[in-house]
Amino acid sequence: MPQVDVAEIGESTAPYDGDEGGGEEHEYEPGHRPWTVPPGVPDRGCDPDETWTGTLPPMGGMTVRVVRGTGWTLIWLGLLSLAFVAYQLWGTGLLTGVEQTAGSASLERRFGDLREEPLPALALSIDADGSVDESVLTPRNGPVISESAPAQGEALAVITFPTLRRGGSPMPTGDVELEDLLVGAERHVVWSGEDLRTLRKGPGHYLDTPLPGQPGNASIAGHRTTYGAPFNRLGELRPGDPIVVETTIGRHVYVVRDPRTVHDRVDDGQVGQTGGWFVVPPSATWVVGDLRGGWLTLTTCHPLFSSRQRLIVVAELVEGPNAGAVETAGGG
Amino acid sequence: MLKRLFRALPGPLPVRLLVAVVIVAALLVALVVVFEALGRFLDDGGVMG
Repeated sequence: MPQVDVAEIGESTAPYDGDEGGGEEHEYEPGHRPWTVPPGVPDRGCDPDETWTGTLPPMGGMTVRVVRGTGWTLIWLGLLSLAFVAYQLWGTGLLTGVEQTAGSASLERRFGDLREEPLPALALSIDADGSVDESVLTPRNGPVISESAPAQGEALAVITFPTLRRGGSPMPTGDVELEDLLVGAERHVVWSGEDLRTLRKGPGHYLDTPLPGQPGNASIAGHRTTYGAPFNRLGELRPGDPIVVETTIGRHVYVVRDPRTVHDRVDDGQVGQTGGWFVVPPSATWVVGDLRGGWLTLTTCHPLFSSRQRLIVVAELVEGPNAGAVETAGGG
Repeated sequence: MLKRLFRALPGPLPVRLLVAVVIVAALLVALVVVFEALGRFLDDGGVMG
């Protein structure tokens, strides 16, 4: 403990009101703050020329160990908590980023191998609010074009959300080529399977549901806050917003629907602020049940940072290789 | 404390270094497993059922 020469400290300008509390007090000359002697410390008097060591009363060995141990335990718990948060929010995202890059390359090879010709150009009319003008769509009629699914855990499709922009880039409006609509939009590789291991790589397709672009209710699950948080912004979707899913046979354009127009059992209290999603408990497996026509159901956790409920988005197929065919082929 | 633990490891310095690296790696793996399990309370992928 360093020795303190009282004479060098100087005089305190604090007024002495005679009520410092704790320990013994001594009378001093006016204007001087009295030294409060802690209990257990020998009284050395008030001589300012005398050096005061300022030592505390000695603590027992056990007390020191308990205090030190508690302190270090709390420090380590705090560091581990920070590490946990960092791992969940950023660490898992790094892992998913690597998988997404690999999946993107794998899909390019798959599409290149299985497509006999380049995809035809597709144009949409986008209103100023970002919704699709469906009145000008002329989907192809004819038989359903089917495709085979890859093995579980392999890259299946690419899902793009044109209204969810990356880096604040504006969404094109008016008559837009689909290719241009996808630039700057949130984009994720979708994997085959909805098991935990597959979902670490990105959104996963429910194996018991049809492939995107096929008749019925194609369903995809995705993380909302971890592993790249691919479905973090689903809550921003509104009725009329486009969602594009590209598979081997082409690009399928879905339009988000008000869930109350799709499912009878959805009431107003379950619908989100934007009107483009609704909330159900995890046990409500009917949301991924079959539907007549061509549909896309996206599921993720709700609320943020909790897996207590599910946020559901439902979208209808309006353009693409099978858009007209699914109406006549039916789904459920 | 860490120095004391390191000195308590058996063998010459290279062996102690190797053992220390293995122990740290095992602890990190265990930590990740615990983090993964806890993380499912925050976000279990949004799967129905």
